Amino acid sequence: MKHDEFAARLEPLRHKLYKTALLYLGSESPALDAVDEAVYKGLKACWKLRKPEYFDTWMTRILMNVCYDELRRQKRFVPLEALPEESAEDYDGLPLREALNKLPEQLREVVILRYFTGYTLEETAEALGIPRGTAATRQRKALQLLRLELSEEVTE
Amino acid sequence: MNRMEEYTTLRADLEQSVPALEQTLDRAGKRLRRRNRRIYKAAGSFAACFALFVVLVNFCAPVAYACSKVPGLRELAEAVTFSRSLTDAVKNEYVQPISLEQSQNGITASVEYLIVDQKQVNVFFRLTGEGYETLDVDADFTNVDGERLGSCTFGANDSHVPVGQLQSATIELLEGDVPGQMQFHLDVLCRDRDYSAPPEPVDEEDAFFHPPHREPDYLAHFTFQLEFDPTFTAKAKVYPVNQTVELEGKQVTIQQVEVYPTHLRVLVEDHPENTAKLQRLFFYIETDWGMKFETESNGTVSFRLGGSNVTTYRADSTYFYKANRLRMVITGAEWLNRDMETTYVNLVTGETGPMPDGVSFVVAEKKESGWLVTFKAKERREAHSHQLFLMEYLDAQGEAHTIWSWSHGIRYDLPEEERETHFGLEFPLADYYEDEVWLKPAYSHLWEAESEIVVTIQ
Repeated sequence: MKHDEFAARLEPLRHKLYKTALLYLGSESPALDAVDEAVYKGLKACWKLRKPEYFDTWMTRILMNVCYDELRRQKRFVPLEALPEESAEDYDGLPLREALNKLPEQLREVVILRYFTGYTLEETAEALGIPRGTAATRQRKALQLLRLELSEEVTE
Repeated sequence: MNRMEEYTTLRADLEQSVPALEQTLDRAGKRLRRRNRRIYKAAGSFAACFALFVVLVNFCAPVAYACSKVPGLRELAEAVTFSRSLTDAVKNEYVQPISLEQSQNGITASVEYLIVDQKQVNVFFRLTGEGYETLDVDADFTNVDGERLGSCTFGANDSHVPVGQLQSATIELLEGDVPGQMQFHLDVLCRDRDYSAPPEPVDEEDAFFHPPHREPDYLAHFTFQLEFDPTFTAKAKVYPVNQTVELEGKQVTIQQVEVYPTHLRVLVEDHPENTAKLQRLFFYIETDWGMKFETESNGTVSFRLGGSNVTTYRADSTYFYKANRLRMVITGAEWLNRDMETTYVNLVTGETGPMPDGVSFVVAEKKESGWLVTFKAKERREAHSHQLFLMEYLDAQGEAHTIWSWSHGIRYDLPEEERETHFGLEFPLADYYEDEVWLKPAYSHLWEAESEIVVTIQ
């Protein structure tokens, strides 16, 4: 992909990337830095992208890796396996934003992409590099913990 | 507010426009060392003077000789966009073509151009290799006997470069002159990262306290003998200035200005009787027709050789521009009070001695690997973050230790009203368990000139 096509495809995606970073990192400045970093990395590597139709999920994946790196530096990254089993009662009483931050990473990323950034289940699975079924399972678990009654998109 | 209402509100909050996002691609383009003309944007004053680029300062007769002899200038121009001075050098064809090639383990390295002056050598080279999409290098320079060249800065200017693309490495001597010959060493490796794969797991905390060092897996090692054509190695134009100015009640002497094709140097003497040490001087150089040359934004801003009270600042070069007059306009300074070279921090109570302006202690946590310390500071106009402390710190016995890593992402949310105006700094004191520490501030305060302070150079 050439730079001009990259620029054209980035235009409608920019705000989506920012929303994702903002939910991950918690405030505007680090979110802007993360988007800047992801766009720079994407621009540098765009010549490698053979299928432009995957541009959105490809850029999202780059952004999430940038966010992971930042969270790891902040020591806020906790793998799913390391946590004891949690119940919805642990999230009751927390404002939604805090509850979202408390979610295990692998559940949080699904919720952010599905319900705050506007990706379909298929696109979410593609962006995260996981099977559709796994994305659906994590989505269901996350919504249960957050006590959010949102459509789980059972059809394609 | 129930959960659904919270969700709706949060979604609405996320839809607010963020003006800074508009320039995301511009910022990425500027960072990219090689960019095509549709992304690159010139600063107003630079674009206005573009039409004058054919006017040469007649310091170097061989420039005219080289005019029609340098092939591939367009590609070379794209390889130097990180440096305004080198861009001007290429436009004025101040370039020595060279043809050296070596192959090893399926990798071929070819050295194709040099841009050289009394203090700096820029080597332009290309790597190719079957089966590789990008290659990285560790670059080094030595004298012809393989020994260090004295005080210098050096390294590759690019990373993760697609094979076959022109890239560069630079060495700059901080003292002494570039010799007639040098060895250029390239260690080649592949640091390709698959962005579709999840990031590698990192040990909890330990990587921050003890940054891992992995020995690179080099694919090939090359050594080239470089010989510089004296006709392409211009001497500096030196302007003795010896003017003393008063900045916030303190005296500073501008000793001289040296103009090289690749950069400009300003030698600034700090007076020992001043109540504070000059840590940084903010200025620009201006010609009589209003063209500005900023302090170096790519690479070293300044350096001071051990024990000296003279600091050399670097700026974009005026070498290729005709100017009847040159002046230096000082806009501010960063000072370190002499009684603030170390400052006390009690890691348990949070009590501190004097802190740099705008800097405050947030928290310190004792971990298995040592203390993890967090500060916050007010952002400056020109940058999101800046240096707060030096790498060295002292214990109660005066023994020195080193801070090996820093992070500007901190784990504690800043108060809402500070999120846009402050930044955080977190760093580990690895294997340090005492309750008290003496940090070394990088500055005590920043001073901005209310009106122009002008020093005449020419």
